[in-house]
Amino acid sequence: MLEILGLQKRYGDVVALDGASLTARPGRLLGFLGPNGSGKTTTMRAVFGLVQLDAGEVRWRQAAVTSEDLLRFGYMPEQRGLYPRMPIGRQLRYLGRLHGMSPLDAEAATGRWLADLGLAERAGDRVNQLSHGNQQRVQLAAALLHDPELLVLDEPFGGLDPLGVEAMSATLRALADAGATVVFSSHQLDLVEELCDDVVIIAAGRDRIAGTLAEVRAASGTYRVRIRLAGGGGFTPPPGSHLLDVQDGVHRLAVPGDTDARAFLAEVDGAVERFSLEPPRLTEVFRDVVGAGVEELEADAGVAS
Amino acid sequence: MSGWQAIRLVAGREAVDRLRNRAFVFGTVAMLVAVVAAIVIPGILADDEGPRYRLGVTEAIGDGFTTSVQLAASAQDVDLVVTRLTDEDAAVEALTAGELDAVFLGDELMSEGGDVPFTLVGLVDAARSQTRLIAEAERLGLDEAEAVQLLESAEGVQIVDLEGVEDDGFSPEQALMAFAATVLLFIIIQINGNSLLTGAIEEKSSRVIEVLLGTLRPRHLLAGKLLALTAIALTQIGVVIAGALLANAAVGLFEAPPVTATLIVVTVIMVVVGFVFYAALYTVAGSMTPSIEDAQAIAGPLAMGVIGTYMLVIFAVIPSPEGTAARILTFLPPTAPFTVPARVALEAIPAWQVVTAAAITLVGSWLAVRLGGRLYSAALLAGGKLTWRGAWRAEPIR
Repeated sequence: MLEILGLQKRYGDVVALDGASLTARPGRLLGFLGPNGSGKTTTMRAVFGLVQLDAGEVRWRQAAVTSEDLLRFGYMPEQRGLYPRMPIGRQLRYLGRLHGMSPLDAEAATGRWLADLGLAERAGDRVNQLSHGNQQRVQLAAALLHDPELLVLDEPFGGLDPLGVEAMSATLRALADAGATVVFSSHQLDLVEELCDDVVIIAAGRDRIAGTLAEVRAASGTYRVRIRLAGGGGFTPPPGSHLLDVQDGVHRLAVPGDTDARAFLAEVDGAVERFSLEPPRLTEVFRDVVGAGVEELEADAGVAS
Repeated sequence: MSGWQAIRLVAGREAVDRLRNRAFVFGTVAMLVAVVAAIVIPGILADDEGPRYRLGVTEAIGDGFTTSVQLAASAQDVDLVVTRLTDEDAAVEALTAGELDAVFLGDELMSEGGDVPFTLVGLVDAARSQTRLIAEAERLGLDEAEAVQLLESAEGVQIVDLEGVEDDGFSPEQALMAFAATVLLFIIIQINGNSLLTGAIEEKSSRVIEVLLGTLRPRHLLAGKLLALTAIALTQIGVVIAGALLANAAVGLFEAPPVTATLIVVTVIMVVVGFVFYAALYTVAGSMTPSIEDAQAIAGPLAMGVIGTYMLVIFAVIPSPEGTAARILTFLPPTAPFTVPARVALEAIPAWQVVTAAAITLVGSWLAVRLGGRLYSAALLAGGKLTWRGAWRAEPIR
């Protein structure tokens, strides 16, 4: 179990972390979600001791992280990269050795991974001779080669096409199913929503809400109704509900979490063409909890998304 | 995994990376070829260009003269062939046929057209006077051996400058070796310093650095690099020195002065203790920016320091190896690696100064590595371009 407890970090006048905390458990995929500039990268770097914290602690299996622990961690930083002129086979072996693997184990794992990726013939190629997709795969292999117990991935879906997102999701799922503790960050809440077992939402350096996906969705205390009347006509929200927006006659409303669909519809006059009552999306939870949307915060912070 | 294991892994990777780098291999080969050529080509040309005279002597001339004239010729690096002729007729025949430059008859030096090179005239004159002096000394009661000893006991003149200071008394070969050692150190430090600079930039610009830092501590990464590049620098020096010695042995350009062995040992020691000083700072400069142009600017003061030291040694230390400047530069860590070998080559430094300079340089290098480690650790994950001051103020990680 990875526990991140109350991290504080200032860079001059800028508060990067203001009490960020999270807990990740073996066998589960934790999505660490928030806008760019909210402190995700700083938190993840702190796991590897790459930040001098002002306060707070990172614990692995109920103890402070040691150098030996780091060997069993896998890290895919947001700033991805490999040695451009070094053959990929040698590069993977090297990274395996840096994680404490014996020469033979590193060799075997490299062979296995390259074969799995369909790159067995290209062990002697340099990174920049590979296609973009293959580079991404080798990068992931570099983080996974030593079979880490904890895997930390910073924006693993950044720059991936839809097929890449699907493949990455499947890989992370498989790792968690095999018992690894997996933490990944993303600012694209919609993209990763379905993948998470657990969710921590961070804004302005502090975790705002955490729990299982269902818990987090329920936390805002509201559900979402989408309703379109026949002909796309106007509509008066029933008492207790709150109109969010209207698009092409589809009204989107925030309703209390205990709303009953049958009771709700009884209040509506006229023929209903479309209707749904669902828990809020994570972006909606974010807005409810933080009080502003992800994009708005990124724009305010002047951070490119 | 211990720190030492991590350092060894890094050093192994860095060394293989250099040895597989074509520019590095070609650079080293070019350096070797240049040094060998600098020795072999003059060695070959020397045979063709040095003065070569053919002197005839008649039967009447004694062995004392021929021995003397040969000795005088070899002392002046003149290639002289002496041929014995039966009589004057044979001399005339040989001169007419152009087989000889001149024939010594006892009191006359005969040549075709009376045109004898000055050098040859001088050699014959000196040998003739010497032969006569020995004969006179024998007549006065000395035996030949005593007479020769008497002549040789006269010391060569002492050369002094305007203030009456003696000439340093080193041979041209030693001056050449001092110069060569300085140039070699300069090139080795520049090449490998730049190689560390670009290596660090590559890690930053390719962004592999943060992947590495997942397990590696910055100081282990730095230590591994310095270890590998020191070994590479020593290998390059070994290759160049071995090439130079072999080439010289093959063509015999000059006789290696007795100080050669000491010079090689001291050069290697000064590289071991002094290279790291520059290497650490070059690596840090490379870690401060992902752009090669910015890095050149950041490393500018460093490069100026290396070039400035090189110039000081060439223009201040070698001409006056026991002067105040030379003595001061001996005890400063950045300048000692250049100054000490030059002074050793000129035999113008006491042993205690060599030992003290090596110790001071070692301490200086250790401080540079400590400082470098801190700056490196602060610069590695910093975005954009740092200055030296900025790197000092930035927060080191781990």
